[in-house]
This record gives sequence, C-alpha cells and structure tokens, in this order.
Amino acid sequence: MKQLSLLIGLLFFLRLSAGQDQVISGMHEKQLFPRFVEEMEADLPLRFFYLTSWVDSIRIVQAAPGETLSSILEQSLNPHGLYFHQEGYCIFLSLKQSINPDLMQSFLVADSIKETETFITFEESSMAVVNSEAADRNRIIQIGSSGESGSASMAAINGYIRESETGEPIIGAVIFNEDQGVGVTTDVNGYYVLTLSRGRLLITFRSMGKNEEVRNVMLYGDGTLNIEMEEKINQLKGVVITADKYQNVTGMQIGLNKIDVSTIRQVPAAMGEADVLKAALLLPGVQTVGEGASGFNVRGGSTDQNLIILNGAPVFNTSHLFGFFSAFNPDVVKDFKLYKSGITADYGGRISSVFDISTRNGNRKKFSGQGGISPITGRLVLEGPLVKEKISFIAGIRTTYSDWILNRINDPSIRNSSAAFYDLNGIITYDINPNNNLDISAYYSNDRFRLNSDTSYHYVNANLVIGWKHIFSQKLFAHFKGIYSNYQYDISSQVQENQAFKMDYGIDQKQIKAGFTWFASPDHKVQFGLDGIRYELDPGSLNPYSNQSQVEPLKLESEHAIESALYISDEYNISSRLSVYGGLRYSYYAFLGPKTVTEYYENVPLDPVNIVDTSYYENGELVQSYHGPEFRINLRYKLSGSSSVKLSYNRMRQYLNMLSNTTAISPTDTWKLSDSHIRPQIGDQYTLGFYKDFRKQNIETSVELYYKNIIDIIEYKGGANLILNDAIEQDLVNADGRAYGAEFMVKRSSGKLNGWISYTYSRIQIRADSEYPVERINNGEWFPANHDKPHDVTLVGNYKFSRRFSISSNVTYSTGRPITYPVAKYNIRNMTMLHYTYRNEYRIPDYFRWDISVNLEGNLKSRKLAHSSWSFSVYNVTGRDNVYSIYFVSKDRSVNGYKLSIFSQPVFTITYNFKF
Amino acid sequence: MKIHKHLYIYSLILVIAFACREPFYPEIDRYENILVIDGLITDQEGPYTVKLTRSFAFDESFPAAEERAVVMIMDEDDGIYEFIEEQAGIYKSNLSFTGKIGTSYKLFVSTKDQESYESEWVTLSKVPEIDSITYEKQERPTSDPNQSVYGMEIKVNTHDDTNQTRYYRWEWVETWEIITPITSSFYPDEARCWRTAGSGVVSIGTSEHLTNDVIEDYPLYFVSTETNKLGIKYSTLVKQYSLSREAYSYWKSLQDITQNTGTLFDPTPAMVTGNISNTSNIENPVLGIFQASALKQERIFIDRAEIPKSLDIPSGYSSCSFYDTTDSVEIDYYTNHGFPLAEIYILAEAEHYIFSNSEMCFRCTLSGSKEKPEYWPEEK
Repeated sequence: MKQLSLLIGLLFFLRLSAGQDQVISGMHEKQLFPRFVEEMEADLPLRFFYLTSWVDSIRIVQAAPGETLSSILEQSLNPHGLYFHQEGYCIFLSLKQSINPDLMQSFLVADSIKETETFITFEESSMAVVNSEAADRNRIIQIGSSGESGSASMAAINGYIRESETGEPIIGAVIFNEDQGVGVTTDVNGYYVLTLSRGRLLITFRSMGKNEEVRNVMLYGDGTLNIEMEEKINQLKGVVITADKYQNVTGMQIGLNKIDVSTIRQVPAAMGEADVLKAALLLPGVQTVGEGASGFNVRGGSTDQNLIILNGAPVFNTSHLFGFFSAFNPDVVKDFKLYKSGITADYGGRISSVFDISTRNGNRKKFSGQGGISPITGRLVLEGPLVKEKISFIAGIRTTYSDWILNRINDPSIRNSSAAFYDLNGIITYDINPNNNLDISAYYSNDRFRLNSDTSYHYVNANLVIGWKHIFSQKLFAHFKGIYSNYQYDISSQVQENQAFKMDYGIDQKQIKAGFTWFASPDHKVQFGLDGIRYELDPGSLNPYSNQSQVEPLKLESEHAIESALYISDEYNISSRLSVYGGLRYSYYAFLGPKTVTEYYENVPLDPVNIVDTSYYENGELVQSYHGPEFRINLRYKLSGSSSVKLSYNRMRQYLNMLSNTTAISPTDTWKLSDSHIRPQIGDQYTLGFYKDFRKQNIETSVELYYKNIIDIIEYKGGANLILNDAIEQDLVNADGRAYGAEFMVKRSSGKLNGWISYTYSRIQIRADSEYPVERINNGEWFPANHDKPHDVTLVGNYKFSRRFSISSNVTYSTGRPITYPVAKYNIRNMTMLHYTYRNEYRIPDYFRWDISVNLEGNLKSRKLAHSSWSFSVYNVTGRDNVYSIYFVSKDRSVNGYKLSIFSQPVFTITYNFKF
Repeated sequence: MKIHKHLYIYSLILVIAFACREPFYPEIDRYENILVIDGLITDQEGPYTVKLTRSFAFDESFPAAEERAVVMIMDEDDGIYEFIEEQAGIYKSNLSFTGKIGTSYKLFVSTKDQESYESEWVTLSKVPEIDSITYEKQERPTSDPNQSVYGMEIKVNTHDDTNQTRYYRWEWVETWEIITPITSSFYPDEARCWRTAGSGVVSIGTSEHLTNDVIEDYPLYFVSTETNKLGIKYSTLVKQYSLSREAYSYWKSLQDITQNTGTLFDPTPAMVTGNISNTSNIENPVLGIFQASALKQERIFIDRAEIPKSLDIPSGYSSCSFYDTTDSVEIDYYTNHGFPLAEIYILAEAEHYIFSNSEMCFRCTLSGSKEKPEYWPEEK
C-alpha cells in the first residue's frame, strides 16, 4: 500500500518540459510488460512508476521496429484501462484515469521566492502547504533562488537529518543523487553538506532502520534542506538492516563495518541475549581465540589493540563473566562502527581498530520502555522526555539473576559459590537550542564471582561522558567532550587465615576532546581538533584481608602519563569520481613521575644482573616521552556509479598496552603504560579495496586487501609473571609483527532474505629476535600469533517468512588457532616435565559452528499494552565439540594430552522481549 | 601468591559447567634431544647425586642416560668435589663431601662430546624445621558433576623466625601397607608388604607477601580413597628444602606449564631454563637445575581407624578371583590354562586347590616390598 501511496503522490508533482519521445529500435511484441520495462530502464534514461499487479500479465503490442515508445505504451496499455504520462525521464502509469498535467501544476511550489537567503525547508513547507508528510515528500522543493544564474554551476545543500519520532540526529545517514553519482553522509550531529550540479534533482536520504526518503529538488543555489526520517516499521520485527546502502561504493571509508542493533539482535546468541561483540565476530577480519574468550582480534591485531569506546569513553574490560557475555546492554546500544582500516585522524591510541559503540538517545516525545528476559539475564530500559522536545533520558539496567551455572554442579563448595553481574546505562540529552546540545552519558558495570564464600573476584568499569555540540555557523561546528573512564578489579581470598589477602588493580583515564568540522567549501570538509588524556594507573596493591592475616601490605608504584594529540584532516572531492581524505595526527606522550626507574646497561638483556642504578623522578617530572606523526590517508575513485576502488594508509601509535601472556584475556590481565623500557607500539596499515553494488538485487560486494606492519609488540618470556611484578620489563621482550590478508564479502541488506557471506584469508606473525637467546622466541624466526587463523568463512542469513515470523542463522568455519606442543619430555627430581620450544607450531582442529534462531513477534495490533516477541535460539546446532585448547598434564611420571571444548553440545535458549 | 591458583579454580568452575575435556593424542613430529642436568646437594650426609639424562620423545617413556661425562662441584674456596658415574647417567659424590650451610657451590659438567656446562653459584641455604604435617578429610569435585571424591589432604606447617627462607619446596615419599586377600602357604611371608611412591608433582610454597615467614596449613597433596593407600596404614615422609627466589620461579614455571594446565587462561608454554648454561656454545640449550639446600624431614602415619568407616577404601585386589576346587578335571583345566596355584589345603579329607587369576593376588612382593620399614610401628 505504501508503494501505491508513494506512486500516487509521485503522480501529482512532477512536471518537466515534455520529454522527447523515444524511438524503440528493437522488437518487443508479446513481451511481458515488466520485462519490457526492465529493458527500457536499462537502455534508456527512463524510469517507470506503476503497480506490478496492474501490468504483470500485460504483453507488449508493437507493430514494427522503430515505433515510438509512446505509441507502444498506448497500444499496449490502453486496452487494459491503463494510461501513462511522461514527465522528463519518468513515466507514470495510472489505472482507469489519465493523469491531468494541470492538476500537477498546482502542486508546484510558486516561483515567487526570490531572496537568496530564503530557503524552503522541510519544516516551512510542511506548514505552508499541507500538514502531511506524503505531500512534503511529493512536492518539488526549491532551493536557492531561481534568479541566481550566472554563478558557478554547482550549489551546496546542507541540513540536518533527524529521527521523526524522537528528534534525535541521525548519524551516518547517506544523502545522494544517483544521476550525478554524488553522495555524502551526515556527521555526529546529523548534519550534511551535499554539493551538486544545479538543476532538477532527486535526492535520496537513507539510513539504517529508517524509511528511505526521496525529495525532488529544484536546485538554484546554496540552501538548506532538513529532513526527518521515520523508523522503518519492520525494524520492530528485528529484521536485518545492515550497513548503509551505497556507503559501500560512494563512501570514503575503507575497512569500515557498521552494524545496528537490529542486526545485532538477529544473530543467534549462546546466552539468550543479543551481544554486540558476538555480532562483531561475524564480520570479516574479526576473530577470537575461542568461545568464552573475551576480546577479539581485528586483522591480526591483539585484543588490546582495539579502541573500544562507548559514546567516546574507553571500556577496558568489555565482558561479563570472563567473556561469556559482553558488557553492553543491547537495548541501549544504537549501533557500532568498526574501523578495521582507514581510521580517521580524530581517533588514536590503539593500533588495530576502533570499535565505536553509540547508545541511543532517549525518546524526546513520549515515554517508552523495553526489555527482555532469558534464563540467565534480564534487562530493562526506560526512556522518555524530561522536558518535552528539550530534555530526554534513557536508562538501562541488565543483570543476571540466576546462579544456574553453579547450582547445576553437585559440589558443596561450588554450590555455595555465586556469579553475579550487572550493568547500568544512563544518558541525558538536552537540546538547549538549535545551536547547542548537551549530553551526559554514564555507564557502570560490575562483576563478582565468589567461590565458596571465601574467595572472590570482582571488577568494575565506570565511565562518564559529558558532550557539548555547538554550531558556530552552518559551516562550522564543534563537539567537545569530557571523558572519565575507570576500570578496576580486586581479588580477595580467605582460604587460608594467615594468607587472607585482597589485591587491587586500577586504571583511571581522564580525557578532553575538542573536535571541529568545517565545511570550508562544497568540496572540502575539514576536521581538526585536539585530544588530551591523563592516565593514572595503580598496577597493583596487596593488603591483608582479615585480622589474622599476616599478609604484608604491598603497593607497586603508581604510573602517571599524559597523552595528547592534535589532528587535522580534509576530505576533498577532487571530482565526482575522485575523493581524497588526508589526515595528520600528531601525538605526544609523556610518562611522568613520581617514579623510581631501574636503569640497565645499554644493549644487554633487562636482567637483574644488568642493573646499573635506580633513579627517582619527582612528582610531575618527565621520565620518558614519545611522540610522532600519524598519517591517515584514504582515497576513493569511482569506476562507475556502482563500483569504486579505494586505497588507504594508516599509522597508529599506542601508548597503553595490555599485559597478557595467556591465549584468551585473563581476568587478571592488566593495562600497562609505555615507560622507559616499554616502547609504544606503532602500526602501519596499507589497504586496497574494490567495491561493486548490484543495486537491483540489493547486493553489495567488496574485496579488501591489507598489509600491516607493527613494531614493538610486547611478547613474554617463558614463565613471565604479570601480577604484582615491579620489574615487569624483565619478563618482556620487544617483538615485531606483520599481518596481511584479503577479505571478500557479498552482502544483501534488504529483502526477505538478507545477510552476508564472507571469506577471509588472514595471517599474523610475530618475530622476536635479539643477539641474546633469552630475548629470542622461536630462534628469532617469524611465528604465528595465538590468534592466527588463516581461513575464515562466515555466512549470516535472515529469512523473513512473514511480518511476525523470521529465522536467522549463521555458520562459521575457521582454521584452528595455533598451539604449542611439547617437543620432548625430560625427567627431573623423578618427575616428568615437558620441554617446549617452538611456539605455535601446531594447530588445534578447525572450528565450525552453526546457530539458528527463530523470532516470533507478538500480534500486530497497534493498540496493546506492550509489543512482545519471543526468540528461540540454538547455538552450535550440530553439537560439534570445537576444541578450545589442547593441553598436557604431567603427573606421577606420566604425561597425558587433553582437548578442552567449551560448548560441546547445542545450547538452547529462549528469550522474551518486550517494548512498550 | 596464590592468585593464579584461584583463577585456576574459577575457570575450572566454568569449565565444569559447560565444557568437556577428553584425552587427546597429538602427533608430534618434532623432537629435541637436549642434555638434562638434575643435581641436588644438601647439608645431610652424602653421597649426593647428579643425574645426566637426555630429553626423550613425547611417545617414549624413559630417558637415555648421558654417560661418561665429567661431573664436579666447586665451592667458593676452590674446593673441588668429583662425582663418579655409578650407574649409567647417575653420578655420585664421595662420602667425604658434605654440603655446608652458607657455602656457595657451582656445578661443572663436561660431556663426552666436548660440551661444557656450568651452573651459577648456588648458596646452600638453611631451612627451618617442619613444625607439623597435618591431614584433614576432604571432599573434592570430579569432572562428573554428580560425583565427588573423598580423601585426606596432607598439609605442612613451618616457619622461619629469621624471616630468611621465604621459598620452600617439598618432596614426599609415601609408604603404605598392603595385605593379600589370602595368605598362601607357598609364600607365607608374601602376604604383607609395603609399597612406596615418591612425589610425582612439583610442590612449592612461599611466604613472600607475608610479614612473617610462616607457612600455615599449606596443602601438599591429596590421598584419595579411590586408591588403596589408606586401606590399612599409611605413612608419608615429607622433605622440606629451601629455595632461592630464582629457583622458586623456575619450579613455578614448570608447575604452570605441566601441572596447572587446562584452564581457560593457560599461559603460552615456553622453555623453562634453570641455572645451568652451556659454556662451549651459549646457543645450545640445556635443561635442569642445580640446587643446594638444607633438608629437614618429618614423618607421619595415618591409620585406617582415623578414617570414617563410611568411606569405602578399595583393597586394591578387587580384580582378584580365586577358584577353590577338588575336581581333578578342573584342576587340570586351571593348571593348563596358566592359572597360578595359590594354595592347597585339606578339608574333610578332600584336597582343595585354590587357583587365582594372578600371582599378584597372593604374592604382594610383586607390587611391593615384604621388608618392613624400620620406622614402621610395632603392632600392639
């Protein structure tokens, strides 16, 4: 029906000077009408508008080749009571009644607006004409003044794109004109500037999860066009809407994946809950070392090389329950963007990727809520206006209310244990006036695991972001952010009375960001800004945890540093085909006192025997600084309207590293600042991508090739001790890394069947070479990193049977990760030991998993208390026991090998979701 | 610090909840043949032993000995003590050499293929007395969530008033009594034996983060009632050594990669290097460690009576069958089929033959020693 109303609307507004009648050279007699239309649209600059049901059985009547189009149409259609009308390149069919061109005339906007500064915007026209959105869509909107001739042939349209229901700015919406092959995206404020050749234009607005909007524009000169976009009705049903259409080809970005929450929701979840990180793992180039492992690897990067930010604030531990859940409430998340390459200059600090998660803003117009219940977790989100249209809030809570995992274990000590977590989100958005917008976003996550009520493990993430958007002019606006981010964990134990202890770790990051966007000219989008971070890190302290405890308090010296950066970038549309993004970020890092630094002899291993001296640095005194430029260059060349090639080069510097010598991130892994001995990691990435869209089929394809070079990766000596170690540098070695790969992806973003299939070939190798054997790994040769999984095939599909019923499924295959086997056994003190040398020489068996979920929506009545849905999912349908690790245990002079699988059986879950 | 151990337990729980573990037999085609030096001197009377072996392939069971090497120890006063190869790869010191507390020693080895090895200087450090060895009944989970296993946890207590020892290593020798189901008159003295087993795992402990150097109720090992060890009378001799910080981390690394494995957070295993290096070619690796430590030991006994009656303890002879017959056809059958004859007795004028399915079932010397240890208490 929507199609029809759109059509009827279209019928009433278009009027151009009569298009010349085409002569059809081929012979189409007896051809089915839709087929004929397809051919015409392919061969001629024409578009037909009609309802398929009118014409699907009509066959073309054509007397001879060389007949005009209009005569063919007349002969073919009129006998069936159909009429056509041509406006320029548009041909409209109407049933039973021919179209009256004069009637359309009356819908035209009067030509009376003469002043250049007078713009017809969406809002104005909606007041002026009819208060109906359909009418707005169907009017010709005049931008600039018709008298404005003689100046340049190009003109710029700018404006804001907002969510019609909540008024929230829509970020990353695509605005494009297909004929000129020009498109842009909105920025963080929903603002866009699109430069086009003047004339009569169709401008299309697209955004994930929103109904597409099309505006007819008569572009005389520069002007504003604001748009409100409606949520796509079917988003309620959890249908896939993937990355922005056309962004694939026309966007500047390379190596970017954007996934919104409805896609995240459709991914079958192991634990009955949509999971941001698990969804990311289905993207090409994103891998994990195993199920239940927290963290992920992007294009061979290690887990600490991802900048994971929630509304701009880094989240240091992204998982609950040691990796079985991600720490993000899916009902609060709006979408995430994952930059695997082509990272823009406004981001910095991690060398592999940026994982930018945005939360939704609260509904500005009415109160609503949503939530879900599964056997393990429950969540609830409330939102609404505090001051209508001005201040809105959204608040979410998620918790696990069941110790079901532990209660299943028939062991008294474990039955007395408990695992609990919760997380809270709160966001307040205040639209002060059209030029100022303030938002405050807070996040808190808490995990606790208690064993037999005498040992417990506890960790907390806490973030606070205050953001202020200010518009200086339509061409210059700014975004300021104050960010506080904290992560801490503690372990306490009372197992042995005299050893009862509590160990604490904490990192604190305070950050200020100022970013400016300046639309310098229609072809230049300039961004610049600065970034300042202050780190305070408490690497560990140990304290007694009972009165009888004899634990001696111990506190490692805290670490202090600042990291600051300036950046500037320009996105330059050199021609409609060629665009360049050039960015420079200069980062400066200073490790500051108070600090006692151990000095070693130069060019020898950092061993206790090589210590020269220790020196003490006063509070605030510079201990060590590092700085350097980071270039970010992207280039896009459009081969045609539907295909392009892109190139990028990126340099990233990383001053904060996670110390982890385990395969998966361990809960006791700590973050460590670069210091006198630990140099920052520097990564260079070169990427080449080819993109091709098949728009009729809604299919996007891409191939991306990359090569990465990393210096000063941290590797670990055998037996490295990473906890409460005040001479950690003695356990580390500097290594280099290289990664390369190719990612192939075919994606269908809409339609009954949607999803994607991807194949990734990727390698990551590490080399630790030195003249000293102690600093060498694998004889100084390249060896595969723990997460080197060369082949990866992922299939994600969603089929919508009806508006209430859909099935999603994904299939993943990947090469088994590398593992180290013992190369010999030996006896010492009558025990058999294992001798390991070559790291990661073998591989665990390949990984394969198939998941299915079935989503059932409640009834579609518009008047009901709450909209509900059920989701049934099966994780690991085939029950394959994918190997997580292979390990060896030596006991009583015998050595046995074992393989460990995490989910060796299908996991069934049921989730009930509701929305009101 | 026991943080790692706790983590091990956490992840063990997760693993029990979801995971499954199965034996796995990898195909390992690489093999490195490396010299292994295992040397220990104490303050007790010698002779001390330095064992030289080669590392052996994963699918083999025994190491090859490194024979015809020259082994000696030097002390800080340039005293040199030679070790003589007594058996293949086992080198013993002269009885006249006894380690002295506070003296530093260095081990030299040169092999028949002209490679020389030497250890770092190692100071023979003192070790405090063991305060007590205690034991406690305990229930432990198994991989089957519905099953748990009972047994005795053996713990050690010690302290050093001078707060100098800090790092400890323990070894133990278990001895337990076994009695065959029947006493055969052919082997009347082979019904009661004693079996002995050494500690098969690395056991180390530290008080490094405590104000005082105290080890309190430190769990050494667990004697499960699934074995027959606690069936009659059980004894263990615990030996306590002191360790340097470096030696402690050597043993800790070995423990981490060979015993504490199988968690979600296993460290990547790597070669563990001790305090010995190859002086002819620094690039050639060598395994093992040379230690010098004072030694203190303590023995305890656990009687069956101390263990709750409700706990079933297997006799270790549950697979034994006995066939008592007077029938000559049967007797011929058993004899011809290799069933060992355990006993002949006469009852009601009939000659009874008792055959068994295994000689072990009536001759305990096949699995233990009939010599009663001199420390074994006299029966009341």
